[in-house]
Amino acid sequence: MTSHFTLSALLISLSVSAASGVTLEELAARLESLEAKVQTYEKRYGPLDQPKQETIAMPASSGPRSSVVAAPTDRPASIDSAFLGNSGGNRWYEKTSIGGYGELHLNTGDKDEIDFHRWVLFVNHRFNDRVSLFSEFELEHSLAGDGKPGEVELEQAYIEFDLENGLSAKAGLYLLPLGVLNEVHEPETFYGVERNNVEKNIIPTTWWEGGAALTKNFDNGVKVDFAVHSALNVPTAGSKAFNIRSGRQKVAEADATNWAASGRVQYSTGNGLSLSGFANFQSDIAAGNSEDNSALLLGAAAQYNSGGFGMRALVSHWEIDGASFAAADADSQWGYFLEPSYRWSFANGSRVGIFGRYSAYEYASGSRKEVDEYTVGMNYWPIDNVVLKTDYNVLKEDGKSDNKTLNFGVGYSF
Amino acid sequence: MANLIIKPLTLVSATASRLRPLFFVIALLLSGGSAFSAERIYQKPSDFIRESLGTIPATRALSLNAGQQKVVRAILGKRYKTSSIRYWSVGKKTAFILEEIGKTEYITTGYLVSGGKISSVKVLVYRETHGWEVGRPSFTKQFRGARLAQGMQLNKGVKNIAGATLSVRALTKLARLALYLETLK
Repeated sequence: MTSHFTLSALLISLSVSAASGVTLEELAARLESLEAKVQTYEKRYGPLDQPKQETIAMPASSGPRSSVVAAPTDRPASIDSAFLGNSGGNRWYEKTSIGGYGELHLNTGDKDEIDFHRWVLFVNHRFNDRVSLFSEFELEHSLAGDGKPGEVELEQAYIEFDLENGLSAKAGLYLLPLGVLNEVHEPETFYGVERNNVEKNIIPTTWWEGGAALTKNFDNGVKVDFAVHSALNVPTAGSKAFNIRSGRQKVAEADATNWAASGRVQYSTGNGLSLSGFANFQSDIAAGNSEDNSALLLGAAAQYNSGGFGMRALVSHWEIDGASFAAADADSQWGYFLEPSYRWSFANGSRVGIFGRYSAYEYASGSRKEVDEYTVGMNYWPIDNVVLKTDYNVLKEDGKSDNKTLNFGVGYSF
Repeated sequence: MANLIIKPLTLVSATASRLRPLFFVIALLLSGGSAFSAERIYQKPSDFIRESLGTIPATRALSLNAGQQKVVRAILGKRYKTSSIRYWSVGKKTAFILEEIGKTEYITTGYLVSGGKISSVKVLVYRETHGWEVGRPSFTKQFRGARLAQGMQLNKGVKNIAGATLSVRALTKLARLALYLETLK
């Protein structure tokens, strides 16, 4: 095969040179350079006339263990070709993957409640090496419909373009790169039955918008996200007035007169420490009134783990313009939490972790809420993908009596 | 107050950047796809073998029998992608090039094992947009010296990377697999 190739290459070059009237000296020089190239090639990769197919010899020894087959010295090129390229395969079932997660919660306290909080299905498809679809479909609170507690939601559906050198772009409906839980919230990745209230009420997690985004991964562990997307539309009247979380339009026939942008810079040491700073800008956070309510969210998060010890901390702060927000004492909404934890791993692959969390946050929802929260609890992972959780939570809101709850949960992801 | 100063700046820069992502996408689509590549090659597999063993010895392969497949399944939670696994060996050192899915794509990783201990781990090819942090030496060097302990677990813990959990798990499973495979050759 290879010698055929060499020969035909030679013939082609001969005919080309005959046609273009090349002298014999020039031809000889070309032949010489060709020979030199072949020699260099053989030196590096072995003789060209060696049979390409691997002849597999009989097992060297017939020991009781696995059979060992010896192959002739592979050329580096054949080793590399086995591992480079798209190893995922090209059939539809190799290009399409499904995954998901779910969590069932039992909350006991003033009010006892059991709820299959989330059932989520991911469907992803790789169109080719460069273009992929990611989608996430969610059923919240188990039962959706008119007057029913739940919702059916499209939480992610975007096309991702993988560009060169760690750069990727996406377009569609996606989770914003803000905080810790917003993008990564599979139940086995965090402590506590319910997601923490700081990210829920301030950021507000889980928060998705429609738009375009760019992500750049640097080799030194720095990752930068930038996104331009649809905006919040916070109500300025009613029982949820000035509540940021209620401003999520969920990209459902949403008002698009305003726009927003998000950015995040993240640094990960690769051996336990991860830091991030994030920001979101809204051109007008409340489309429903006539004034200018531009708003800015600034925040930072840190995660550290070493041995069994873990620490998660987050702070975020909204500053909102406009007389109506100022009058309602809703122009500044903020929160932070600190969550130390310790985890033990066992020989059978299971793990147990305990944690404590202190949260403080102030947000608007009709009126201003000032809250301190204390949580202690335990996670048990029988395997990596399944978690059983319990926690005890004391929520102290100014002007109200303490709300104490004991919570249980089971969660999975695949 | 600070907001008053910050905001005009944010507004101007954000408006300018507003069209940039779109421009990027369109420009790169128009460039015929040559600028695209999901696959990131940190090191060629053959170069990993040469660097680890000083030479490229004959490729050998382990064919797993039913009992061994069972152990592999216990480690990975599923069968390995192929029934025969190649390796390269010089003296006491053995190099494996193993692949496991992080989230949706295979991560190709080189493991150098010697006398029941991991000598080095190197991510060779990474194909996903998330979890790239596992390719950093500060992460992979944590495996150095790891051995198989009770229950086919590693005797030392590997620190998780926030946001790269699945990739960390994949590389940890493959480290256990490499140590197990070394006992079979």
